[in-house]
This record gives sequence, C-alpha cells and structure tokens, in this order.
Amino acid sequence: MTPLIAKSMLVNSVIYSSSSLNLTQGNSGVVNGPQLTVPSNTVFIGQMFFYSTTSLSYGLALSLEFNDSVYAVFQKHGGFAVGFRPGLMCPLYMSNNTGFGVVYQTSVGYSFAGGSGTYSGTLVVSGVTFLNRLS
Amino acid sequence: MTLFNLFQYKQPLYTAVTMTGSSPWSGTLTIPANSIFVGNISMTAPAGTYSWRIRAYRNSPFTVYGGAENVNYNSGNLDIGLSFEVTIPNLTSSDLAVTVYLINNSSASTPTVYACGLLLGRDGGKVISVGSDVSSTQISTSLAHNTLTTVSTYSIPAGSILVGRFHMALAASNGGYGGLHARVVTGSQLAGAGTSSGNNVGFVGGAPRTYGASTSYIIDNSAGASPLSVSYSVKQYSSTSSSLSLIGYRSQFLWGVG
Repeated sequence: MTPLIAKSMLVNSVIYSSSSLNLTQGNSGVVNGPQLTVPSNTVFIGQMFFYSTTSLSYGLALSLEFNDSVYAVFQKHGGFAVGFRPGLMCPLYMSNNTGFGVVYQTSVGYSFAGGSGTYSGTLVVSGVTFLNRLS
Repeated sequence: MTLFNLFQYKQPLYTAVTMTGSSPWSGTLTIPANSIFVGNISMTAPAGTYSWRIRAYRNSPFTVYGGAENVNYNSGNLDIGLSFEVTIPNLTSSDLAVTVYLINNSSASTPTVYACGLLLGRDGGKVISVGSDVSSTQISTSLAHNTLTTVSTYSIPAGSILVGRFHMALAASNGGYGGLHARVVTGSQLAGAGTSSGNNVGFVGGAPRTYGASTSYIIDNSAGASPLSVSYSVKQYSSTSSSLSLIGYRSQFLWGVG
C-alpha cells in the first residue's frame, strides 16, 4: 500500500442507510442489513452500528459483519440481562479504485442463550466518501 | 472528520501513563495548551486478574472523557486489554492534566497504560489531509494455546498516519470457557488492546462469529524519516482445546500530511 498524499479534501457524498432487523430468540444466525455502495474511485470513511429497539430478556451475543465472510467487529453481551438493550458499533474504511461502484452487504450475526419470540433492532451505515487520488 | 479540517496538526502523542502503587492506580496524561488529543487510551496487564475498569477524567470542572471495563472470567490464564477512544480538547493557554484511573479486584501486578494518537492544535504545524488508500486484510490462523502470537505486521510509510481497527474471532464453535486477547503495538508503544472472555453465550455452542476481541488505533509516522513497523498480536485461552482456529480482519487507512 503506497501512501497517496492529498493536497485538498473534497467531500463527494454523504451516505446514510438503515434497515430494521428481527432476530429470533433461542436461535443463532445472520440477518442482512443495508447495502453500502462505494462509488467509483472514492474512499469511504464511516461506521456501521446496531441498536436494539426492544429490551433483552435472554443472553445475547452479537456481531457486526461486512460482506458476509469478512468480520467487521465482534462484541459479546452475555448473561441473562433482562431489560438490557445492547448495541455495538465499528468504523469502516473502504477504498474503491475501480471504474465502477462496488456494493457491500452488511449484516448482524447473533446467538441467543434461550427464550422465544422476536428481538428487534436497527442496523445503520453512515459515512462520507472522498474522491480518490487527489493531487 | 470535520475536526481535521478546522485544526492544525501538531505532533504525535505516544505517552506512557505511569501507574504506581496498587489498585486503584492513577496516572496523569498531560494535554498541552491549545491542543486537542484524538486517539486511544489503552492498557494491558498479565493474566492473573479478574475484572478491570479504566477511565479518564478531570476534576475541575469534573469531566469524564471516556472509559472501558472488562470482566475476565479466565483470570488465571488470559491477558487483559482495554482501549477506549477519546477526544480531549484543551483550547486554553495552560496545560491540562487528565487523570487516568484504573482499578481491579485483586491488586495484581502494575498494568501498562499508554495514550496513543494525535495532537491537533490551533496554531503551527501542517494541515492534515486525507490520503486515499485503504487496506482491508483478512487474517486466518491457528493459534497456539496461551501464547501471545503476532499474526500480522504492517509498515507505516514515512509521512503517513495509520488509522484502523483490528479484530480477531473464533473460526469454529468451541465448547467450554475461554477468551481472546488482541493488541496492536508499534515499537515498544501500545496502540490498542482488547480482551473478551466468557463461559456461556457465544462461546459454548454459540455462533462462533459472535465471539472475539478487537481494538482500534491511530499511529502517527508523519514526522518519521523511515517506515514504522506495527505488529498485530493475539493470545487465546480455551479450557477445551490447546489450539484454536481464528479468523480476523484488519481494516485501516493512511493519512498523508500535505
């Protein structure tokens, strides 16, 4: 990776996208959130975060994932923390040096200790894209 | 991000915050006048301790800048690591003394605490502009039991600032209890550290992808004349396996100084 020095910083666009997700208590799995499109020849600097919209009644482990097999962040919430509303956040840095836009899939991985019913939350992706290779 | 447009770069801040005595410890981080510190406050301590809490604050007016805590279920086996990101402004004409407070439940050996990041100021220095290269590296490894192992390295080119996040997790389900410890070091300086441990959700029969340790970091080599080496290390302890398969991800970008 070669450092590319920019003499000016131009904001190309602002990205904000969110999805409401439902996690099934007692199970584990992966639920897809919004897609992130990084435009051609830009750098994306931002974050994704998940926050719950219902209280937790059983132990829950959560992960934020990016493009399926690529793990973005890991965070565990253990114990039977009734009423707790866990959330997690991680920064994202993506570069697209191609001549076309690249689409990435965000998702939440989860594992419940027990319970039944639906646990709901929202996965948000936000950030700024900068024009690449400025001179 | 707007912050870096409005303020001027001054210098890196790699500072060991000296901790003395026994738990609770406290040390002083000095933020120079007319500066803003943006970065991490991180600590590591060897295995043998249980739960930890760290925070940074000032007394007058009382202000808490950030903190972190961790309960280490594998107290006899797993190194502890905590990091939290802070933005500490000091736009006065006097230096600001920030207290870093650290407590655990067993008064174990003295921990290592570092502040690592950037000092931005209102005068002097150069404007930081955004470099345009981002690297994303997936890391897969089989990690020996209870041994701090370097799983990746990187060389920061002279004239650049590295900003990123490092995370490692189990690649397969694992029964029993255990944990992961991850740290990022440049030279002898701790740039970031994290530990996650447990004995129920996420580790025993849970989804492996939900279990891991991570940290972020900001490392400055903008004034350096030569590349600066960074190492990414992991330590694992499992009650049921002498080695574990891990998968991780390093996501980072370079800033250049224009």
